Amino acid sequence: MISMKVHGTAETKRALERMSVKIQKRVAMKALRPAATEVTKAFKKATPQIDDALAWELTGVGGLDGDNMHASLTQILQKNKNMSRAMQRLIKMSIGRKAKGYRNTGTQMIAVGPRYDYREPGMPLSGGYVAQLLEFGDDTRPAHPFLRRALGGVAQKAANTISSKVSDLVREEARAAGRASRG
Amino acid sequence: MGDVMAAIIAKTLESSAVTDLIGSRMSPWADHASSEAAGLPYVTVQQVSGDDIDHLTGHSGIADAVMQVNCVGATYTSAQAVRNAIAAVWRAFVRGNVTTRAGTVALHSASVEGVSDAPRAPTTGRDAPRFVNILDLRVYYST
Repeated sequence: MISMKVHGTAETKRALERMSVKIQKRVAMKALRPAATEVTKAFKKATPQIDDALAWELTGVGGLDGDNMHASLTQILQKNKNMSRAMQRLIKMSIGRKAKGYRNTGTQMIAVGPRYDYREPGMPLSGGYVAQLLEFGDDTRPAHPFLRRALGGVAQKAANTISSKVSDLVREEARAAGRASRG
Repeated sequence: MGDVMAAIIAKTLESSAVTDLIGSRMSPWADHASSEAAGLPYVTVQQVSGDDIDHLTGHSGIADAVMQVNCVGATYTSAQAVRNAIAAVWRAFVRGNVTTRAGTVALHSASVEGVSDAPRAPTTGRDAPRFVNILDLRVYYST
């Protein structure tokens, strides 16, 4: 798993801690969403177009001659220019995000990355599986670390987005609380 | 000018806990075939990313690099044992110079990131399965 931590300014953090857990959760999720969008876009943009031979290899259904070509792969090739494009599309489309909140600790998170449950019609492997093979390689294939490189490029920007959003939202919540107490 | 990858390999192979498991079978990814031919388990290293660290006044002389260390074994546990031994070496590392044939590299700090517990599925089309355990190693260095 690739992750990053953001530490806000001490003042904002203290102000946030004085608010109710419900508001803390709301602020955290609102701040995380735009940052997650930035990371998602960066991951999609970084998805490489691998060479056709590797793309065929990753399908796990034989070589370039097409002798073992499955009927479903023919279907894929009718939709895409070549297998390389099909793989790129599969990975790109599988990149998504999932938000999760933990009730006891109040921790909020959004996971961004290729989903294992995403499949294109006719494709034997899921987007997440292919992306993992590409990202980390295995004993016979070198890694193509496109996700880690993309995260390296966008991490600071996403962290800044979270920081500034948290500050803005804490100020808004404080103002709303003030208005409510004045009646 | 030193080569950071060679320095990482040299430093890792200074540990007897590592060499007891892999001997000297640790190489850059480009030479993985020779390491594999020498037997299992073995380790390959590939650079994931790297950047010079600049100050407002210019280059600081320090660069960072993230290396993917692939520990390949015949079983999941053997690959995991190698990965744990290598992680222990780098978690205990503080700082120091490493001299390789290409020159001396000053390693300022190192941290183990992104340890992967998920075994890669055995590769199809082989006589025997291979399991790969991965860790990412971030180093700050100057040459």
